[in-house]
Amino acid sequence: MADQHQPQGYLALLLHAHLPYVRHPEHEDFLEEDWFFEGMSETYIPLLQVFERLSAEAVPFRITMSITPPLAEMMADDLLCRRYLRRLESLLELGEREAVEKRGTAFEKTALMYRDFFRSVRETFVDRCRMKILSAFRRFQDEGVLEIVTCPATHGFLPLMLTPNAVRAQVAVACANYRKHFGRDPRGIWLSECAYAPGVDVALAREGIRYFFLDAHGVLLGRPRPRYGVYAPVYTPNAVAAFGRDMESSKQVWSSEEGYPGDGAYREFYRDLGYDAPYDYVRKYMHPDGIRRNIGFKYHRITGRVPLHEKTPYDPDAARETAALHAGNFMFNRRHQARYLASLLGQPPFILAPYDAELFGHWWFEGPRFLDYLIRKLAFDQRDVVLVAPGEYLDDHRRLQVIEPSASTWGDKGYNEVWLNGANDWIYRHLHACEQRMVELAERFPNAQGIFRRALNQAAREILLAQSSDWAFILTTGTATSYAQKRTRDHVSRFHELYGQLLSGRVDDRRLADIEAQDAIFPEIDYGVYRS
Amino acid sequence: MAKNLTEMTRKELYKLACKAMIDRRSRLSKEELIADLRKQKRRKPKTAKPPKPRRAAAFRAPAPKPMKRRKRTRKLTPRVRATSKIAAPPAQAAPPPPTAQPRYVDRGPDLPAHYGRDIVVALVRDPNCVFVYWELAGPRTAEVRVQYGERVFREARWTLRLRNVTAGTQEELAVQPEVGNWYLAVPDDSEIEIEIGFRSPAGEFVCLAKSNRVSTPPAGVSSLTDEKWMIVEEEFRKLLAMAQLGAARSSPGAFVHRLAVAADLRGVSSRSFISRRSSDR
Repeated sequence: MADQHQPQGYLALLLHAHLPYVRHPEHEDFLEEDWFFEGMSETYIPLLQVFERLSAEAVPFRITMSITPPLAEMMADDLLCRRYLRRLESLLELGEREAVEKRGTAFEKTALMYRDFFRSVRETFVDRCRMKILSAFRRFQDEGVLEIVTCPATHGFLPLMLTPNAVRAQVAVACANYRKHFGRDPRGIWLSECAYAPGVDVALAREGIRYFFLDAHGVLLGRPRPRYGVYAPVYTPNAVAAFGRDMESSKQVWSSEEGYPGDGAYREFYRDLGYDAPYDYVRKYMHPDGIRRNIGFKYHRITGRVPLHEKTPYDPDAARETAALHAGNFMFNRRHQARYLASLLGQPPFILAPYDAELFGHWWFEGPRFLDYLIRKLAFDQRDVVLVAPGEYLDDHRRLQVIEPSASTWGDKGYNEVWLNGANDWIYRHLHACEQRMVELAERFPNAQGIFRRALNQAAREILLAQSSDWAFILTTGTATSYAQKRTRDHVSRFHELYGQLLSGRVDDRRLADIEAQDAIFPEIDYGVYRS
Repeated sequence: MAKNLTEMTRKELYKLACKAMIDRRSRLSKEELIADLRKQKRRKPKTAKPPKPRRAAAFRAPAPKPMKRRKRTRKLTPRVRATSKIAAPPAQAAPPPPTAQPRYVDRGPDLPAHYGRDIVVALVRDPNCVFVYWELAGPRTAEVRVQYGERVFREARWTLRLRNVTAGTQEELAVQPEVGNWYLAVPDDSEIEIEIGFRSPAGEFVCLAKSNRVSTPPAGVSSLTDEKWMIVEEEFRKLLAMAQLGAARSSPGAFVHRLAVAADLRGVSSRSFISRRSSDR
């Protein structure tokens, strides 16, 4: 913003990177850990590579990412990183094999692309990051190009919690974890599922959080009416700034019909080698159960609205050109939007464009490339729209309107229904019972030491893990529901077990060590956060 | 289908009605249930799944995040749905259907059926719907059992009393205590409290538990255009953080308002102030 030219508008790109904490040391091979492995190869490492390229070529940019505490804990976990490396090497081996296998076919170029892709992912992960990718993200934050915000400790759905203590604990544990990983206080937070209800800002203010994000209607239905709509941040009654989501820029990327990721030139997600190749050929890249699943080698393009068997071969170069075209279109639209809004509002608008990080790369394979092009174009081809980080914007714009935002989420229908419906409402009576018992424990044992302290801390971990909004979400969507049920019941049961042991004054050391080894998130936790 | 509808007991029919989300099903007779279920069947296959999942399980599908929030056109009926029975833990109430590949059949341990409390808890689902769950398993329930006898749980008229604090009104909805939860239609932009109890033989409302108070969000844009502006400087922020600890928890808005008043009185410097002005629109 040191630029002399007065911009017509500010654009904040926000990537929300999150995965639930899935780590099963008790099994050699665990299917749901794949979520993390795929996220690493397809999204997190490719994003890092984009930042590296831009930074190496001195392209000015600002980008905001939330790296949620569970994801950060997984990225920093030795066991998971070793398992990931094992997976990566096996895919790399397949990549080398495929490059030979597909020689002279219509898929040759794509096969070579995968080989190079996995080689470069391995190089970034092993040679450059030394398997510590968090420190690579941290480096970009320290350089000032990336702003990392936190997220409630286990992506808990704050408005459906019963006690203020539980809400506060989600925020406080997240902040402590952020300090551990990133060496400073978090300035902003992405509320899980963008879920806000009046009063949540109290917990944020208490932990020194300066800003958070709302879905558009959270701001627009606020009281009093927000003067600049979602195009300027507001203060909540407790003096935390809130940025509202811009629907227009969201739609261009998110929408399954009109969105860029649905273009025919892009890679088709559902046509995968895991199903296409002869069973014996791909067997060794699958899980021990031997069921065919996606393995990440996809050779077809979306083509159009045709059945999977009619998809035509993917052309990496054509897809890349399309990504460049879309980046140009996105920029064009933002410039027009900014100019129009600036004349309407009498001040440059702040445009917030938040996305799930996993959309880029995992789902929309060309997404990281799109970001790369977009950032370059914004930097060199125009001066109307400037990329900003929210914290930086607040430093320069301190006078904001005060409104009480409306309760809202970014889920279907805009409120809590995705996380509260017939498929998952049974969880809340248990989660609430845990909350109340945890508060009771924290008050009753204010200065526990030794094994009691360990048990109390573990109880806090169990309730936090049970609260992850992912379980409720999965129960609603109907895929992998048994795992979501199991995780909810496991953590709630372990919590009650520890509660019972603590009240009886007899903590079973071996059992506790067992649970600690299984649910090893947040080693730094202090159960005292649950005290009133 | 193994059995003809007419051969089923009412209990079996009721289960089907739960699945088909038939309104008012707990009130319907066996014949009415059969009629409604037949109607329902003709209308649409309720459980039809979308043709293909948009993404792998773990990653959030981009599609479901709607860009346009469709205004709710269909009005919620008050009795939307009831699921669990108090006798069985809610988690068990809906046994998951057998899936094609039960790789992970372990669904975890059973959870407690109750926690020995008398509670009713309200959760906002959206501007026009509040979910309530209750547990009648504590000392108050025991007391009622002694005073009125076991029969009261079967024979008395049990109700959820919905108190609209904002409007100063209240209404009562008949409910079966063993159902354990309910979705209630409520007005938007209101503070709501719920009590669970029954009508005694003398006609008075006997309350067993009272809920937390919840606020439903407004369904439309605020008519309030009076704007309030403020600047938060770092030192002021520290003040806020310090002063906030006890004061703000109960009512978020009040604190800033108090600060604003205090600031006006003290005539603070231009660096940290809260100003109030009316809208120029």
